[in-house]
Amino acid sequence: MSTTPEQLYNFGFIDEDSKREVRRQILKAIALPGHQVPFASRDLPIARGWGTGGLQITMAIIAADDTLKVIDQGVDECVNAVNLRRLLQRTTGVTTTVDTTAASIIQTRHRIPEEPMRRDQILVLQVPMVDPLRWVEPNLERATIMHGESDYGRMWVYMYESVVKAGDLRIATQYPVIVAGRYMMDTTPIPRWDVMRLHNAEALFLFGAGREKRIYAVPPYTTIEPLQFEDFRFKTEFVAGQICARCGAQDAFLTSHFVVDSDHPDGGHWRSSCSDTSFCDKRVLVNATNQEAPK
Amino acid sequence: MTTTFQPPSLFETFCTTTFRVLLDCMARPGTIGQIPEPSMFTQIPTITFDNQPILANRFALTSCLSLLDQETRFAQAANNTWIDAQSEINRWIQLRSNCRLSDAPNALFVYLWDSASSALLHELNPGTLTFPEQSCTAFVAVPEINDTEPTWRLRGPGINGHCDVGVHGVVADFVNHVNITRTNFPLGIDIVCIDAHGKCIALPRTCQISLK
Amino acid sequence: MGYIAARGGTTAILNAEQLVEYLRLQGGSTPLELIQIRDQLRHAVGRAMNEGALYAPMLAALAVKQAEGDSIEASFLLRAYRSTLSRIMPTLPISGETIRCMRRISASFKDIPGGQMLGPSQDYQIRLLNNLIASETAESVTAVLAAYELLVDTGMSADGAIGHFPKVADYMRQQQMIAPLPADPDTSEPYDITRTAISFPCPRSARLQSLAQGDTGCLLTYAYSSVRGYGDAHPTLAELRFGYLPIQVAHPLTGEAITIGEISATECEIVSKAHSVAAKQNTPRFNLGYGFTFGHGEVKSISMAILDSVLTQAKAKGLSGESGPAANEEFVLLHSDGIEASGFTAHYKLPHYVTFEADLKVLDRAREHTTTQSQTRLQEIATRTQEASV
Repeated sequence: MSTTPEQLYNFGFIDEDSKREVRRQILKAIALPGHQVPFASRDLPIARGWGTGGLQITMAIIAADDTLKVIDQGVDECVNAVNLRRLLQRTTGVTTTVDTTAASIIQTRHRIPEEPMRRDQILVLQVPMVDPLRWVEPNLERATIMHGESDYGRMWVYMYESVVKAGDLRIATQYPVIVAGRYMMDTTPIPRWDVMRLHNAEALFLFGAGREKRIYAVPPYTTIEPLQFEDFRFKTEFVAGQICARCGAQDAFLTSHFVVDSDHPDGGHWRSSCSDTSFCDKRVLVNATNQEAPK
Repeated sequence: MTTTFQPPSLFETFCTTTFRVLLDCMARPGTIGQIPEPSMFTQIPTITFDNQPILANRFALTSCLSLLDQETRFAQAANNTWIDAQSEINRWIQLRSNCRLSDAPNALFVYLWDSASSALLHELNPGTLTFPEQSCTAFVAVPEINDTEPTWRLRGPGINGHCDVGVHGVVADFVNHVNITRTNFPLGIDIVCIDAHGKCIALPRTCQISLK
Repeated sequence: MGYIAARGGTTAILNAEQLVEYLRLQGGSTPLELIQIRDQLRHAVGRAMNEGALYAPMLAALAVKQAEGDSIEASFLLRAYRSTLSRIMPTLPISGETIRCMRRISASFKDIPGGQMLGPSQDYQIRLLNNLIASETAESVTAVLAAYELLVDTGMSADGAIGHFPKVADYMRQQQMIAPLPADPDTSEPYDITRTAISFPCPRSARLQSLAQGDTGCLLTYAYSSVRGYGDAHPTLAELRFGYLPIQVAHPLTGEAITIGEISATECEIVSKAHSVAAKQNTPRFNLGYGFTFGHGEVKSISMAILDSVLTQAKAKGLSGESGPAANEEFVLLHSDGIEASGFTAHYKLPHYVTFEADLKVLDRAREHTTTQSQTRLQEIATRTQEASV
C-alpha cells in the first residue's frame, strides 16, 4: 500500500484499455442511433446509480484542453454535480465552468441546458433506466430480441392504456422516442420539455448507464419522434402563463421551491423558477443591466 | 483543489486526440477531420508487393492503435488480399496494441492499405440483429480527401440535409463495395477513410452515399 | 437567501466528510489497528473481499475500518480500488483438491476417503453470549494460544498442516453418480464480466463469477427460497472444505506454472436430486452445483452452489429446480450484486425535483381527466333521469 496520502491516478481515473473499450462502444452507438450498446462498465469510487455511466463516458472522451460543466437538475451547485465535478477535476485537471456556452463537454443528470448547444459541444447524459421496453418486458434477453425485430407493439398498447386510464401518456420522464426511424429509445429522466430538443440538434448526445452497462447515442441532425397518437399528441409540461419568478422567462422548464418569508402566515410561499440556474442567472444579470441603463 | 493524476503520455494524448477526431467524424459523416501526426512512431512499416515496397499510410495505420487492445481482433489487407497473421506488419501492430490477430470474418477492426482492398469488405462481420454493435469497423487508406472537388453526396443521421465530399484516387467500384455492407440495417460495417495527409471522413452504416 | 435548496453544495459535502470522521471517532477510544481487524474480524474482512472481488486482506481490513463495519460499503470501497489496478494475467485453472484443508465435511456419506474433519466450526457451539470475550486481556490471549500449542503437541494437527484430501465429487464421478469432467477441458479464458458486459443467455463461467461477487444475504435469500418451496431444489452437501489454496500463473516467457502464493478459501459442492442434465443422452445422474468464496464463507458458498445447481437444471429444462424465482438466471444474476443494488436504491436520496415536477404535471392532467370523466357521467345520468321523468 502506498504511504502517500493521495494516490496518483491515470488521467481520467480509468485505465487506458478501459477508455478504449468505452470509446469503441461510443463509436458503435453513434453508428446505430438509439440502440443500446453493452459495455463492461468499471466500478468507480461513486455509487452505482449516481452517474457512473455518464462519468465513464466523460472519462473516456475528455482531453486536457476540454472545458467541463457538470449539472444535476440543471444546477451546477447541486451536491451530486459538485461531487462528480470534484472527481473529474481531481483526476484530469481540466478547466470547469458553469456557463453552458463556454463548455466543450457537459455532463448532466435530468436536464438538457436551456441554451442551444453548438456543434463543438458534447452533452453526456447520466442514465438510470436504459430500456423503454422495461415497462412492458423486464426480461433483458427477450427485450433485446424485441429491439432487434422492431417489435414495439406492446409498448404502443401500454401507451394507449395510459391515455385511456389517465387521460395523458402516463410517462412523465424517460419518455420513449423512435430514433432515426428505427430504434425505440428511453430519453433518460429528462422531462418531456427536453425531449424534442434532441431532435435534429447541432450537438452530439451520448447516454451512459453504468449500472445497466449500456451506452447509446443520438447523433446531430437525427430525427426523434416521441410515441404519440394522431388524436392524442405528445405534450410537454408547458402550462400557459408560466413564468420564472426570478428572471421572468416564460419559455423554460420551471421547478417549484419554498421561499421563507416570516411575514407570510405559512412562514413562506411556493414559487417557480428556472431549473437551469446558469441560464437564469445570466438573464437576471441582463435584466439588471437593462434596468440600470436608462439612469 | 489538489489534482491527483499522472499527465498523459505522448501516445495517450495521440490516442485521445485521434479518438475525438473519429468521434466527430462518425457523428457527422462527411465532415473532414484531421488525424494528428503520430510522431511517437519514428519507423512506419512497409510491405512488399510485386517486389515493390509499399509504405503504410501512417495516419490510417496508427489511428487503429487508438482503439485496439487485448480484447480486440484485428486483420489487414493490401492489394485485395488478406495479409498473413504471422507477417512482420501484423507483428508490428500486435506489439504496439496487444491486440489479437484474426481472420477477416472474426475481426472487430481491419485496416485496408488501399481502396482496391475494399472488394473484401463484404467478407467482414456485420453483427447480428440482436447485437449489431458486434460488427467490424474498417479503416481504409485513400489517396486524397477534400471538400473543394466533391465526388460523393452523403445523407443520413448526423447530416443536415446532405453533405458533399471529395474522395479521390479510389477504385471505381469503391462506393459499390461500401454500399454492399449496408443493405440490411441495423447490420453493417462502419468505415473510416483516411488520406495521405491524415484527412479523415467516417461512413457509419447509416450513411447513404451517392456519386455526384 | 437560500434560493435553491441544493446550492452551497461544495461546503456541505466537505462538512459532511468531517462529520462522518467525527462520528467514527467521537468516543475518543483507541483507534483500531488494521491487523486487529484482519485477525479478529476475519468474517467481515472475508465478506468485503468476496463482494469487493479482490483478495487483499489488509486492504479489506482498511475498507472495513473506513466503512465502520458496513459490509456493502466496505466491499464497494474495495471494488472501486480494484478498478485502478491493471489486469495482468489470469491464474492457471486450479482444483479445490489442492486446498490444504483446516476443515472438510460431507453430508452425503458417513465416511469419506480421508475422513470427515470438523475443524474450526461454530456449528455445534451453544450460542450464548460469552462474557469472557468481553473482558479479554493480553494474558488471556496468550493463554488461548498456549492451549492451542498444547493441543498440537498432544497430537492435534496444526493449522493447515494436514494437507490434501481427495475430493468427494471425484469419488462420485468414479461411481458415475455425477457427470464426468469433460475429457478435453476448455482451456480458453473464462468469460470475464469485468471486461464484457454480461448478456443473456450467459455461459456458466459468467454465472459463477457473478455469483462469487454477489451479496451474501441476497444469494442466501434466493437459495433459501428455492429449497423452502419456491422451487424444487433438493441439495445434498457432497463436500465443504475450508483451508489454504495455492495460486499459480504461467511464467510469461517459459509458460512454466509458478506458485505466487496462497489464499484462504472455502469451496462447496452440492449434488441435487436425480434427473440430471445428462439424463436425456445418458444414464440419469445427480447434478452438481459449485460454490467458492475467498476466506471462510460457508453460508455464501453453499448458497452459491445451490443456485448454480438450480440454474443449470433450469437451463437444461431438467425436472427439478426449474421453477421459482431462483431458477430465473437473468433475475438472479442482475439483482444479486450488493454494490449495484445498494447504489441504485440509495440514489433516490439524490435530488429528483425535475422529474418530480414532470410527475406533478402528469398527476394534474390525470386529475383533470378524472374530474371531466365524472362530470360527464353525472351529466349523462342527469339527462337520462330527465328523459325518464318526461
